[in-house]
Amino acid sequence: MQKKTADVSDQTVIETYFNMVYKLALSQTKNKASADDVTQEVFLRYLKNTKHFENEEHRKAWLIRVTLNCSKNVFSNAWFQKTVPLSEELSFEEQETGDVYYAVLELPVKYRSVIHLFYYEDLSVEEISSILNRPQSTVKSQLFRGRELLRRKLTGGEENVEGTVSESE
Amino acid sequence: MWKERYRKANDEIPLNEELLGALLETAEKTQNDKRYYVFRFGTVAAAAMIGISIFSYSYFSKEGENLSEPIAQVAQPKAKLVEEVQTEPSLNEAPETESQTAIPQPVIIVATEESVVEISEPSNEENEDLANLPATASAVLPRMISSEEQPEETELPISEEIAESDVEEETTPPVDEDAITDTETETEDETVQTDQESPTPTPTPETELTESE
Repeated sequence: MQKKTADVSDQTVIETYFNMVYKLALSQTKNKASADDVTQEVFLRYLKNTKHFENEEHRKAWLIRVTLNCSKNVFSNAWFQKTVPLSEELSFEEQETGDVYYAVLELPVKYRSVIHLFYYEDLSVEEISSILNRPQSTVKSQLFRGRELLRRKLTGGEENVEGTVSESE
Repeated sequence: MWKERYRKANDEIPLNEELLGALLETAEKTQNDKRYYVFRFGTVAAAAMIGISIFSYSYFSKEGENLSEPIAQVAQPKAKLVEEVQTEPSLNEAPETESQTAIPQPVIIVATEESVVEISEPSNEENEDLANLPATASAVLPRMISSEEQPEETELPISEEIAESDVEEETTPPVDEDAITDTETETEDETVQTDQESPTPTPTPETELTESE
């Protein structure tokens, strides 16, 4: 029944990774209610989980993988497919900040998850490939294509977007 | 620039504090339940161990008492059987070996004495005669009879024949001196004939001592 290291309690894990899980779920589902549901489901699975984590990286990777899987389950839900995400609920101080965020949300799911993990969670290509169970070359190509799509959205296809593949790697 | 903006936008998104609080409460409850289950399991396990130990102690103590009695009860019949096995062959096998072997042995003599007495069942007079005989003669007498394979001949001890011969010699009516001499020669012949008929010679104290030795 040792699913965690002896030093970390369940409350500490929830407080530490709640933000990460919720933001990742929101970037995937593009809906606050769905993000709440996904977050709740992820931590309930964590509390019921009997798996032993070797270290914090292992725990973090497990939470990210479960969050992505639960988000996919939300996508496959019939009720979710008939609803329209309420993007206007999110309010940002600066318009430019909001524009970048919404531009990322408009990306396809496979690019969105890689962009979010690489630029917000500061995970390396190797870590992303291990979490998503994808080859590193695939992760690199998805990062490149996601940045290109984001650049086109933000500049209208004219301006170059900062942060090329060479910079990010 | 867009990377910093994207990070800043994510930081500005408010969290659902109610959901966080609910999850923390759930985690606390589950942790308390786990502690309670661990404590309950520990108490149940400890009680079970104590019960098993008490039961095993009482059971084995009773079993030990019960086991000690049957062992003693079983050991006694076995001892009886061993005694019977040791005594029966000496009584049954002794006559057979006696009849088969003509070689006199001191151990067989004692057995044949009893067997001869049992089979022939001599009268009281014969027993008295046997009792009057010297110890060496009484000891050797059955052995000499047993050398013959026919038990019917052994029914009449030779000591009795000797006594009868003595009686005949004593009770022979007085006749003429010639006749007396004849009778004496006849008796001598008879004794010689009896010696020839019986394969074993008539016992004499000297021969008995040598053979017994």
